[in-house]
Amino acid sequence: MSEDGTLVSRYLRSRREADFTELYRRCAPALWRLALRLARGRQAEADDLVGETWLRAVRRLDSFRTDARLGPWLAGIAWNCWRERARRAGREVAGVEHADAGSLDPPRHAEALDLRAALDSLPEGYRAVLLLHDLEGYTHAEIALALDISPGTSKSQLSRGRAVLRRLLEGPAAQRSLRAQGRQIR
Amino acid sequence: MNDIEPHRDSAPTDLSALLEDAPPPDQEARVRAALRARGKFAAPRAWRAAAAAAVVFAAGIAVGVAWERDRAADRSASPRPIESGLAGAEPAWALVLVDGPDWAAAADPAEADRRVAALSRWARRLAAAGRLVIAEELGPPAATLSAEGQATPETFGLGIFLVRAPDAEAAAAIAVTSPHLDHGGRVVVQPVVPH
Repeated sequence: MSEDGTLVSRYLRSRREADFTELYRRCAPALWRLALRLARGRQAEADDLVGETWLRAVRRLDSFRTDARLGPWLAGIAWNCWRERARRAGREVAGVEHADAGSLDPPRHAEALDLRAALDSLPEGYRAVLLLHDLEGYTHAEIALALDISPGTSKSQLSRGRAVLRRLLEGPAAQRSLRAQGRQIR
Repeated sequence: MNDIEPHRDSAPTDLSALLEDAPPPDQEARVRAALRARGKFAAPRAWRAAAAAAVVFAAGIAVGVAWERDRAADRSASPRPIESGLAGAEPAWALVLVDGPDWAAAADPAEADRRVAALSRWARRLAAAGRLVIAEELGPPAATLSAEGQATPETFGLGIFLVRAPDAEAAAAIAVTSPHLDHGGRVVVQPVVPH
């Protein structure tokens, strides 16, 4: 049983608020970072997403595999909540495997973007995989489970996401090249 | 295929600057309140430590009843119009103990017992002074409704003490002696409107 699994079991047995709080504090920073970037920095939207994620997570906590880590499991719930919200709002939702530079929200900055702006302009699939892997340190197997994709897709989208991000951070010349590539594939 | 040179660019990106993005400070309290309102937590030990808690409230009720009996004797000696069960020479005030984050975080059983004991002493002091009418524990909200449907309360009452005091100032003076305030809780003073 993982450390997270032990904490989850303890909360499920006791239903004590203090036991939940321990779980919450363990996962809150990473969940917030994911929610904030999915919401492209809009704090209120990220806040709603976090709240909905926890409500759903607690309802389903008895299905959590106690040998797993809670962070990737919560990320998967957040991802699904986000996609459902997008559908309800009538926004187009592309699967992770369909993310590509062609669906890039083109940056309008004349100079290199800062990290948050660059990330926020990436397709959601790239953004999620990049954050979960390069920031939170989740494995491709964990990301695959969370985002309902294959580990191979997680790897390839990470590689592409890194490439796109790097060029966005480099500046206008690289961005022009990126947009040109995006146009070619449309 | 839209493959943007993945091999050349496959080195990890340094995203560590994003670690500075901390959740809003009140997010935890709001998430916990939402879960509490949906009955996802067992009742706090402070209220569930039944023996001690029961002493607080039963003592309050018993003393309150006795006090009411005395008041009734006074009234029979000097007849007054009967307006309601709470009618009396002095107005009645509801002191509603409201949840606060520090209070909700009180999970340590020893600390919870200390808080219950402090409330118990407070109730006895109020009763001895002839101020306490009744004391009741309040559970988490069973439902919170608005015109839009279910709503999520950020705070709610944990207990209610009905006291007698000549005016709002005197009622507030009683409220500030509540040990609930020592633990991050709040006490809301509301008049009981006689009918």
